[in-house]
Amino acid sequence: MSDGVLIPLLLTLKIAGWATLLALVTGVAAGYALARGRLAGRETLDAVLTLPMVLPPTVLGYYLLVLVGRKGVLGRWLDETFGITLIFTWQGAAIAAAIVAFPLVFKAARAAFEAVDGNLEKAARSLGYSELKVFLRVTMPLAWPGVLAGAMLAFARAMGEFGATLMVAGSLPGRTQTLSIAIYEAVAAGEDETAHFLVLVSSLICIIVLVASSKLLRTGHMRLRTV
Amino acid sequence: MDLDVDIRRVLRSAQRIFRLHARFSVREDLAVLFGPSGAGKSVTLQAIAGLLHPDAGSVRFGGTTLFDSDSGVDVPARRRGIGYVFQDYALFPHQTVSQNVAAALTPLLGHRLRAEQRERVDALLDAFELTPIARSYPSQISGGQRQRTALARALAAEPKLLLLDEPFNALDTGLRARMRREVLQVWERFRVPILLITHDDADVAAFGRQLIRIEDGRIVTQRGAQSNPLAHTMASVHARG
Repeated sequence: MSDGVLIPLLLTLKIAGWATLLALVTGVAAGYALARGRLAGRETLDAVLTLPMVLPPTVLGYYLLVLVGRKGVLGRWLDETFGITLIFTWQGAAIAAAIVAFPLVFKAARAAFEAVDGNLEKAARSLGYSELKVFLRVTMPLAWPGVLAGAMLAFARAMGEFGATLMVAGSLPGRTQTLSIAIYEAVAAGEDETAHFLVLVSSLICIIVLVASSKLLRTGHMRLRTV
Repeated sequence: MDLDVDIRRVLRSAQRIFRLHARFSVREDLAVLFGPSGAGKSVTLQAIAGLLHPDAGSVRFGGTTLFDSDSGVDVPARRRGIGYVFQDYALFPHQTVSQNVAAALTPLLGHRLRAEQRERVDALLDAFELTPIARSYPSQISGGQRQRTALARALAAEPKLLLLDEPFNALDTGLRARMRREVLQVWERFRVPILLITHDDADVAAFGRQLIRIEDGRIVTQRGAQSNPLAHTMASVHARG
């Protein structure tokens, strides 16, 4: 594999990996809070948290720019306090991809937590379990197959992220140019052969992720056959 | 057993508003809370275990106040030392029979037990004839075996009181008589007070040392083994059984 493919591929995997991790942690927390918490207006909150899935990525990218750009509220604070700039960096691209991928984890996690029988958690409490222990030993292991399937979809989504990433991180070869952006650049430059190959690699990875995720979901359901 | 319950709770569903006011005392070590489905039995039992919260009232057991809305006392379920066996057993589906029985003893992470804990689990598995299926998952075993697993799991925590929610409801008729005998054996062998709820007269005959009858959210009669006059008013309900 030539550097023209390997470099954007590795960069894409790095960005998608971090984005998935970020979406996983926040998505599980939000999914659990909405499935188990007694928050007022949780359906409104659910809608707001699902927005990144339906908003055009360029709109999200614009919001992100406004927030973390050099003149943005958060961006200026990060720059002045820590000397951190997110614009035109792979970290910025990872955050953009994480926000786009977040609803996939969040939705899957909420559904998975809601599917856990509340009596199992009560039984654990009556056995002396603290709330943390209930979560780690009962709730999370039972919800895990669903959460993992959501995380796989999030990874695939993050891999293919284009709009928000381009607006926040640009297209700097070797630094922020991911596979999907490299494809666009290759086509625009008339490099058909490179484009073909990049497209093939992208498709292959996404298919692998999808197959693995449906397999995980199936084995998860088999193990948790209703008692 | 030395249990005093006086709880109120309003339950709302799409169809109706249900007001539960359960007030009774239990002195016998084997007692039955009897009433038709939807009379508020499960809610009462869960409130005693601390698994749900009454709107008002108090729960006292063995000289300790577990819940009192007036003074704001609400001991969390995990510190009440009360075992609870659910109607559908609520076994952890991702754990083997052995891991289920050991659940009360396992650490926050992993499944390692100290030697004496391992012995206790093995003794319980043995006592409930679960040793041959110790490595099976709940979905792979019979209804009677599930119930034994649930009883063993609750007893591993060494509860001071064992609450059974419709314990024989999920079993077929042939198995019920046998499991009734087994629960009576548990009561004698482990010397743990048992309060069970049921809508089955046969359970009352087998376990009703003390009978508390509940209908439509109200305690209608309460009688003990010795004294038996049927009381109909709230005041006499509170008299000792």
